[in-house]
Order: sequence, then structure tokens, then C-alpha cells
Amino acid sequence: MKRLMVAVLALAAVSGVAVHPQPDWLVGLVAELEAIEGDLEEALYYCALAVLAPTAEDQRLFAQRVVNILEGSEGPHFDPRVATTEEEVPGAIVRLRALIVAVPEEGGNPEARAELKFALKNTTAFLALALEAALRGARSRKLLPGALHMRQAYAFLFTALGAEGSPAYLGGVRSLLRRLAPLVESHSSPGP
Amino acid sequence: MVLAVAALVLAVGTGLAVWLIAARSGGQELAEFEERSLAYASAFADAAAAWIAAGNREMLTAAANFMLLGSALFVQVSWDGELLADERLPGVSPPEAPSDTDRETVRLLDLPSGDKYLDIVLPLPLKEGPRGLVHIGLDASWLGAAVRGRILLAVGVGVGIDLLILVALLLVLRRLRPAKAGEGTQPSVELGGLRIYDDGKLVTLYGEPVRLSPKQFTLLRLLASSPGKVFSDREILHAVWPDSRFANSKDVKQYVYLLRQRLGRVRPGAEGMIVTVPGFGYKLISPDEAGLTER
Repeated sequence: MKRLMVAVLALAAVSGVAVHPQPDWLVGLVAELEAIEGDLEEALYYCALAVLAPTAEDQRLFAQRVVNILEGSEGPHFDPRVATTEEEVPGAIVRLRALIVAVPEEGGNPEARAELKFALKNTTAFLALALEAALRGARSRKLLPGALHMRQAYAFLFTALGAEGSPAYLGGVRSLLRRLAPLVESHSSPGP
Repeated sequence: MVLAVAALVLAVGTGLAVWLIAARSGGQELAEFEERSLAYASAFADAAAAWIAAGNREMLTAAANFMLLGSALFVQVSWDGELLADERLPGVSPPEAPSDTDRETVRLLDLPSGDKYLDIVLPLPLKEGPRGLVHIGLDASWLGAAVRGRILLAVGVGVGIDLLILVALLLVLRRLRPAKAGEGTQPSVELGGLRIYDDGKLVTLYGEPVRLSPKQFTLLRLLASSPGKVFSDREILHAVWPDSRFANSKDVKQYVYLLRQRLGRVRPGAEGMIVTVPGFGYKLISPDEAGLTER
């Protein structure tokens, strides 16, 4: 996925990154992606527990936890009973959608912007699919059908999280981070 | 007698089926629960090892605590001789975990309340460094309720099926009984398609049973003793109501009417087999004479 990397570099260069040592939107984007990565890792863990849950009650509990992480406290299906904190927590999907909006509309290479937005939108779509499956799992009264829904949720979450070595054209938080984080580090590190 | 034997066989069969269902479902339920619980605990142990390696004790404690919302009664994680997480429901005292941290153990133990729980001990999957283990207790009290529910369902279904089979058997026997009664014995009176069996107090018309009360049977038997002969009311009263001072011609008339009705129900037109001879009495004629033929 050299093309995306080149596109992001071009976008960063044209939007003034080369001049300013702190490219705000890119730094913010990487920080947010890192936070989302942590959320998705946690969601993936609860998703696995929901698949392997010993009882249907446990399964619904873990499935609801996944829903909470993805939707956040503002989500229509958020259940405060299975929240670990009483504070308002933004959901991973909401955060990703905010990132799509945060990509500058002007300046830089339009193709590069479009590619980055495309990758972020794909990741959001995978998370939306994971949310649908997790909701089905949270509503399931029986263990085996519920496990099937949670396997689907796991698969979509796994894809949304992505692997560092995988191509980023379909999204994936880790593959995006692998390409974007070095840009931020190189720009923020003091020059010779 | 046949019904009693059938009922006994069905009852024994149902009992055996219930016992089999109870024994098999109980064992199967427990085996599935153990298998899933072990996989569940292993997933937690994997994650716990990763959190320990990353120094993320906050997440370890949060995850252990979260499990208490489900069927976990307690979750303990020890590593390098230190208890990193010890989350438990109020009033629950986990037993001491086995000292052998290399072997996983799964035991079904009793709670002080008498309910069961599954005690799982797993070694932490750490490749190097100090050893550790995960000790989880999962509530298994629902197992007994689930098995009791299945037994009740099995008993209900078994008894329901038994009743259905018995009713069906009863209906078949009732249909077969007249034909069987007639098949083996000679009729006392045979008048065309009309047969009367004194021993079984049975009357058939072209093989179909005619349901009669004792008095109706006696009346028909009297008339059939001399087909074509006219029996007066007095003769009939003497034969059918020998001990009654109060029976009169009205009773004779009513019973003749009822007898005609019963014959007519079996074969329309059979009412004509009992002929009223005005001023004298009643006589029985054969079905052929009454214009009936075998179908």
C-alpha cells in the first residue's frame, strides 16, 4: 500500500506539514487511531469471551459490552449496567466518523484525501457490521445462535482492527497507523 | 386386561425413557458446560498473560471484575507469588488453588448453600519469566434446574404420548370388539343379517353392532325367539318386566320405539323390522322382508 503512504505524504506536504513541525490534523488523527486501536482490542477480547461464554447470560453480557464500546454512551443501544465507567464515553464508530470529517477538505492532493477517507470509511463500515452482529448476539436467547452472531462480530472487528502488514485500501486501524505514525514521528522529531 | 397390560408396558417405557433422558442430558449438559467454561477461562488466561506482560494491571482487574456480572463467582490471577487480581462476589470464599501451576484442573464443587460451581485453575500461558495461574469459579447451580426442567418436559411428553396411545388403543378395541365377539361364537338367533348372541348380550345387523340396553335386548330377544309371531303387550310385559307391577302398555310402546330407533341408527330402514299389528301386538320380521339388503 505504497500508494496510500505516498498520498498521505503528499497530503501532509501540501497542507503545510513540511513547513510546520506539528501537523495538527495528522497528529490528532494518529492519536485518535491509537485510542481507537485500544478500544477495538478491548472489544475483540470481549467478543472472544462472548463466543466462548459458558452461559447465554454471560454471552449477552459480553455482547452488550462490545455494543457499548462501539456505540459509546451516546448510542441508542448503550447499556450503562455493563459500562466500566460512569463517564460519557465516545464510541469507536463515532470517533472514526469524526476522523473522516477531520481530514482537511482543502489543500493537498485531492486523490490522497479521497484515499485516506476511503480507508477510514471502510473501517467504519466494518465496525458498523460488527455492531449489527454484536446487537444480534446481545439479543439472542440461546447460546449457540448467539455464538454464531458473535463470531461474525469478531470477524468484522478483526478486519476493522487490521494487521500491521496488511494493505490499507480497505481500511484497518493498525495498517493505517503503521503508515501514518512514522510520518508524525519524523515531523515532530527535532532536526539535525 | 389388555388395556391394563398395555398401560403397564407404556408406563414402564415412559419411566425408562425419562431416566435415559435425565441421565444423558444431565451428563451432556455438564460436559458441554465444562468444555465451554474451560475455553472461556483459557481466553481470559491468554488476555491476562498479555496484560501482565504489558504491565497493564488496571485492565486485568477491570476484566476480572466485569466477569462477576456474569456467572463468575470469583476470579483470581496470581503471578510470581503475588495475587494480581482477586475479584469475588460478596460472601464467596474461593478454595485454595492447587499448588501445581503447570496443570489445568476443572472440578465441580459444592457451595456452602448446597449449589454447585465449577472450579477452574489454569496456568498463565507465559513463555518465560515467573509462573502464574488463573483461578475462576463459575456458578453451575442452573445445571440442576436445567436437568429438572428436561425431566419434567420428558415426563409431560411421555405421559401425553402414553395417553394418546391408550385412547387410540381403546378406540380400536371398541371397534374390534363386536366383530371379534361375533367371529368366534355361534349366534343364538340368526335372522338374515340380524344376529343375536345371548352369551355376549350382543346384537349385530349385517356385522355392525347394535347398542342396546338390557331391557331393549330382552325385548328384541323375545321377538326374535319366534320371528313372524305376534307378541301381545301382556306377553312382552311378562317377559321384559317380570317383577314390575307398574309397567304397562305405554312402556312396551316406548321400548318398541327405542328399539326401532337403535336398529335404524345402524341401518336406515331397519325400524321396519319390528311391525305393529294393530289390536294384537308386535312381531319381528327378517331384514330381507323389511326391504334391507347387505351392502
